[in-house]
Amino acid sequence: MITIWRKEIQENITTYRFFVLTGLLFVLVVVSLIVSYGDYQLRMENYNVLRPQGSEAQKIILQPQPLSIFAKGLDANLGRLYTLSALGVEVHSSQQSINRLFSLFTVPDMLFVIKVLLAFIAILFSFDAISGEKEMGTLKLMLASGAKRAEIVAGKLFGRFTLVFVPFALLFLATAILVSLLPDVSASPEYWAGIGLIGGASAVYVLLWTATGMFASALVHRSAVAMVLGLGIWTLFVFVVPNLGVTVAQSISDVPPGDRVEMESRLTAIQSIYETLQRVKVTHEERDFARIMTQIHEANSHLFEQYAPRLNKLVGLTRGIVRLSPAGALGLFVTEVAHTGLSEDQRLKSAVWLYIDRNFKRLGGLEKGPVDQFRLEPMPIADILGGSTLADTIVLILFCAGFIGLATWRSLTYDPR
Amino acid sequence: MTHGRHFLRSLVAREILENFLSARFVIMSLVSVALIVTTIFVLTASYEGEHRDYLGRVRQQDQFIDQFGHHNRLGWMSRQMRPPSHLQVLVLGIDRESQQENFISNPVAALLSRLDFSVIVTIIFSLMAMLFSYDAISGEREAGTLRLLLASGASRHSIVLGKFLGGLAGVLIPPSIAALAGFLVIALSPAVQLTAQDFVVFGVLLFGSWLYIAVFVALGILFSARSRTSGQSILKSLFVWVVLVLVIPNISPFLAAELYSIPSAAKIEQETFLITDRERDEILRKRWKEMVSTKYADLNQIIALGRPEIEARLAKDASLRSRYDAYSREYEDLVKQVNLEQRKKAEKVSETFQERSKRQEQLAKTLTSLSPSANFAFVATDLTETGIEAVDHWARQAGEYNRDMWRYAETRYTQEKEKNPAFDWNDYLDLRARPRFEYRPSGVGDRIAATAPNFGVLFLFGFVFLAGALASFQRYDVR
Repeated sequence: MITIWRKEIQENITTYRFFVLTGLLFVLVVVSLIVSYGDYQLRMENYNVLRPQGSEAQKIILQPQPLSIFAKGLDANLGRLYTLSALGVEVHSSQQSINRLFSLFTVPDMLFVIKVLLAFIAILFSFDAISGEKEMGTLKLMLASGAKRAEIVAGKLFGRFTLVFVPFALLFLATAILVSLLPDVSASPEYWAGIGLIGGASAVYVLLWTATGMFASALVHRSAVAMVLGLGIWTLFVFVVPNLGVTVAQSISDVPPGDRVEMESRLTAIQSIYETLQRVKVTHEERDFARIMTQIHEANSHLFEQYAPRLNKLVGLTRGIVRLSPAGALGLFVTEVAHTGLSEDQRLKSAVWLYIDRNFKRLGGLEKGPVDQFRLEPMPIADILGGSTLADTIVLILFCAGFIGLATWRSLTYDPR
Repeated sequence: MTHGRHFLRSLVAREILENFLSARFVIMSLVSVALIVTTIFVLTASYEGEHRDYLGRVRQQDQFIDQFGHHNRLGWMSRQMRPPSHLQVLVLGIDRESQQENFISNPVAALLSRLDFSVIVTIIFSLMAMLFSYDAISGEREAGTLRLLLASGASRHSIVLGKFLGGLAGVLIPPSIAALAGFLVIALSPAVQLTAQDFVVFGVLLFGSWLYIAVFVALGILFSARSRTSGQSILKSLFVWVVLVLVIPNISPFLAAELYSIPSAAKIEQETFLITDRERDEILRKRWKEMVSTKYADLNQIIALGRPEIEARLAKDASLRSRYDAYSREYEDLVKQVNLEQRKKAEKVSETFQERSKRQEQLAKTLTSLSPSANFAFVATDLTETGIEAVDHWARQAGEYNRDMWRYAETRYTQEKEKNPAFDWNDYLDLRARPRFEYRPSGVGDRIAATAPNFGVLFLFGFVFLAGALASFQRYDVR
């Protein structure tokens, strides 16, 4: 197996394909780093301008996480400014809501490079592993030389995997070191743990796509057909399943959009103020602002408590459907590790709501005294791994094992003539 | 000339026949139909829910204003909502929920993109087009048939044109069948009411897809004519495909944000809020003090009292009431005046910011136009009223409506005040006969005209790639 692994690397490392694809990967990683770091700096600037000065307890804004340079995820959302009052939470525009082109296109971060392009490169490296040898007539010779089929499959799989993953791993590591040295970035042990986890997940992911390419290669007898097949599977799992899954989940769950809840909360507040003022007019009593605020807060709490579980259920369902694709599972895993995933968003919102609930009287000026500062540390890596990422990890490993199994099964029964 | 035409015709016929009989044509047709029909089916169900919710929200807000309408909080209670475009079953464009403007917005919309006809064309069909054309020239050379073709008298440019036109027919038919099947799904769905205009939109959108796919067929032939082997050709083609489809459109907004930086949007929001809130209150307090000390010094003691006591004192003294009413009127005018001044000041700050944001957006748009996929995305979103133009168009109409509504409320308030001088801003104001907001989408002609530059760029891309292929093949070694 080692001999075949070495032969695969020696044969491929000097090819035009290796040169073009590794060049493409290099360009993409560099472009992604420049763009993502620039974006991180803008978010940092935004944070420094908007963060609460001194005792501005009514303002909440989270600091951008260094790992968001690699997986931006929901960072634009998490880094928004929230202004709190007894009437509720006002969400301010994120830096990107101004330029609407951001909503039309995807974020070209490292996650995008891994999820979409590294998978693409892995397919292009492996689609001819078996069929190519057959077309050249060398497969028969290999088998005649006494090499076992299982050894050929393993040697080829790991050989092609090495050709894709090693250049990527080196680039990724260089990027991680460079980012850790950049100003505005504090590289804590958590940062390096995150980098390690993203690297590990990428390794499984690349192996999975190399196996997919090999499976396609062992399924047909012409490399051109194998390539079309491989890219077809890539399209299905990278674009179709996760992106269609989001809409399917939304349609099934029938959870109303946030706009509806916002409107209901707004109208409740207006009604409460209006009715109190009208009553005061008739009874000539003093305007009881405390009562108005309490009413509004109670109504908002009711709405939030009713809506949040439904929204969380929708998020859970979306996760479940999106995980039917390895690209979806990888996206969820990496964003969680980078502290820019769905769990972090849910955590922030629950924490903000709890904080308002606890400090509502002081925030509304109904009670004198200082309001404690809002604090929310990023979720520790150990907690992240025990949460939804466990399911993502299992899905990735299962997909990987499944495609390796399929590639092996087809290769073992492949007709080399 | 006639000889050349004859060759071209037979070459095109041969290409079409070869394509139609190939397994990839059958697979592509089946995949295209399955993909588009499923996507449209899912999006139609999603639109139905969204539309129902939109109608429900409009009704709820309308009923609220009917029941609790009052002048003071009118802007807060009357917020215009953008109706979902029924053509979002084809192209989702800018998703309302992905803007995440509410505390409880669904975060999924900001994390994951959704599949629609436009994504299928930009990514999947363009990839299919490349897979059909990457071996057009190099494949014939490898098979040894290129020399035979030239020996039979076919000119080099007729071979390239024949490959292009024949390949085009093979690549365009599956998406077209799929698009028609998808449109049939929409037409049959009770959730979407199609108009004659929608058929025009669909026709132009389909034409845009053809043009976009043709660009990639030309690109595949270009690299095929610049490569000795099909292996090299596919690698070069896919390299450029990745750059044009996946890299340029996605990095452009970020590059624009770095090249043309604008202040933080939240900071501007805070600034304008301060102008219309805290600063307004301070100015109002100052001018009110001036007003009282210069004109109503005699009411100083009364004003300091609580509302029930004031009412009691006014009820006893008629002259005091008329004096107090004069003061109240002038105070109301003062509030109006200060509000107006501060609103204008805030509007100026946000207008300057909006102008700069627009410039950044324009820069991003110019950068993205270096990619055919971005041009197609603009064509698709603008035609279906789901893009930037539509959001602006809606915002203009909502703004106009708000001004009309404001004028109407002012008139109604004045009428009530004339009838009853004690009537104030917090009293119920019957607004049931108010104008209602009805969004009018822009006309099809305007929408098509707006996409003309993008169509132009797509033509240019196709032309350059095809001309490049013709030029490259003139120097191609056919051995």
